[in-house]
Amino acid sequence: MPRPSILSDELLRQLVAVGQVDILVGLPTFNNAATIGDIVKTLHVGLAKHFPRERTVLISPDGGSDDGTPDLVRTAPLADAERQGSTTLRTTHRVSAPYRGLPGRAGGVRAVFAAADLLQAKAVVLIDADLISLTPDWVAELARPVWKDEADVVLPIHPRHRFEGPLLGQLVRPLLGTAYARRLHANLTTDFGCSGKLAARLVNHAMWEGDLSRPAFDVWLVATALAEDLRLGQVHLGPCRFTPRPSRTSLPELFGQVVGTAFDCLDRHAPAWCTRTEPSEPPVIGEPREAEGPDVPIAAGPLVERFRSGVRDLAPLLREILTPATLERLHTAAASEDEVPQLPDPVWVGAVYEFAASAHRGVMNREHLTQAMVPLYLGRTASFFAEIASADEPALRERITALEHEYESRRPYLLELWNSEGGR
Amino acid sequence: MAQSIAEVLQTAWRDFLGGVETFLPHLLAMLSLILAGWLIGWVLAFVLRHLLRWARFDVLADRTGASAMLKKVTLPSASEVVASLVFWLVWAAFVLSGIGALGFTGMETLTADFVAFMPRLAVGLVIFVVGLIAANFAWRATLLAAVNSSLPSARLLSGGVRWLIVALTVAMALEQIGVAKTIMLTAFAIAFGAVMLGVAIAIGVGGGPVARRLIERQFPETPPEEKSAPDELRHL
Repeated sequence: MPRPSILSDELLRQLVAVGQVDILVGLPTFNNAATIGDIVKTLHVGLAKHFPRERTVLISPDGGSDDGTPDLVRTAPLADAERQGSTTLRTTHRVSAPYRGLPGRAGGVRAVFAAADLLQAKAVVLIDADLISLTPDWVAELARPVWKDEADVVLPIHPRHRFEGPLLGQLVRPLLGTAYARRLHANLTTDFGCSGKLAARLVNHAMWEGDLSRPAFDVWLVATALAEDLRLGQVHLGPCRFTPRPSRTSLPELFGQVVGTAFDCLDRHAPAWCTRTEPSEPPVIGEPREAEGPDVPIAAGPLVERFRSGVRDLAPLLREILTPATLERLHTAAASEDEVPQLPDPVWVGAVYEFAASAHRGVMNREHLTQAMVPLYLGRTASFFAEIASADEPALRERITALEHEYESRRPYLLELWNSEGGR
Repeated sequence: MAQSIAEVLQTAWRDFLGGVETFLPHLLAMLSLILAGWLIGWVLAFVLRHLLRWARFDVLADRTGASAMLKKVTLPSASEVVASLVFWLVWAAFVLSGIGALGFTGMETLTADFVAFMPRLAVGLVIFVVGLIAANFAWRATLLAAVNSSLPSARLLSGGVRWLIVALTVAMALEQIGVAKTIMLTAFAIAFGAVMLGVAIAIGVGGGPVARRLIERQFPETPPEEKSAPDELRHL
């Protein structure tokens, strides 16, 4: 029985009218009326300026907006955009219609991939409709390496403040990078570039059938690119700012989505990454940019309190997951009288690897396992932030490099745990 | 006189030996059934033990928390417990059959009662095992939710949830097996009702302000002006 298409009849009709394209910009939307007009104009300026001769289309699969977003996409005025951009030889088509399936980032991206497959696009760029810091050059930066056939996937490196993104910087990126033997610097964000062939291949991937939340999808995409040894490119872009939306995802849920997906990917792709030995670094394009706004430190007290109470109360669960040596070190850190307990890199990296291996062995329900990691993550975050609070930029970069080196040097330990039967 | 005594003694001994001659085959049949039952039970347990180990049954028991519970009550591994259970059930059946072979009146009824009891026992054991697994899962989920929500006394709360489910499971299993049904039901109802009443009084009278603070924290009237540090962080 043929799989039903994610492209609705209306979307399909509009796409067929467009025909074959060279560059496809995907802009999944859901109630983005406040920002969509500016984003559409910015994208048009970028396409007109950098790809004046190419066949381009802006596709906006909509997840059921009730604020008129699809109409705004179709009717956004281009007079200003054309004045700002070069004279184009071709028209950038604009398509906006609902897609089939449940609304959400995964559904929107899949619709873009399906459209890229239909229109045989050479390069695909995904942009988040909440990205208010988008500039016209971003489309070119993400599309050019793919357009020139120098990369299959292009991930952005956005400048971050030192107290931002600890889940990514302390755990997800170094874990995936080390496991898959690729030195990553990219952020897990919602904008990226990829080839049309890759998009066409991923349309019917089994992963879409699962419950793919927004951050989980980004983890899955990066892990899939790493596992299949696709040509990865990392490009420096400007700061990333989004429309503020109330977050309904608690930290334990976020952990389950992001870290749980990372552990799932390690499981699925084990035959690919377990045999890799030497790490390589995907090319980095462009120069680092400055982060915007002040660096606001986070109060360590609540993080430390949750770390201490977590290590104490979750001891019965942590005994099933961690080795006695690691657990002992965590207890020592939690019991210390320092205002902010020290959780050095070897302890943290060891704990991460032991969690990953325990997830692989299935010592307990995976959601419970990732939730058990939350207090340790908060303790590590407090410890790391205390260390780098007054460090200058070179010292900060050195500190981050030291952490990445710790992950890499202990990779054999991850493999040993992964391949052992009893584990601990 | 001496001759009559001799005749009585002869008759008595003849009758006794006749009885022994009649009873001995039954006794031998019983012993053979018991021995055969022991051998068959041992073989079945041996095969089942290895089958469960091959199927990684102990890993499943680890994951569901059943192994941890068995360790707490100083029982061996899950596969060992299942194999032992099968051994004892099979041997018990053969022992009863052996006793039935003796030909005592009333043994048929006992054997029939045992056979009728077996399915109830099996269902009761299934209820108990499923209940233990559910109790452990609920304990773990409650503990994690309480710790990550910074609720006070997380271990007490989660332990209470576990033992509540275990008590309910034991009551259900015993009712299914049919052991002291009325007493179990009454005792459970009284204990459960008393615990709930105590909790209600404690929360309503002693913990009113605490409960109010917890509820207000979960359902604030206006958005909180300051978020806690973990919520302020941009984690990704």
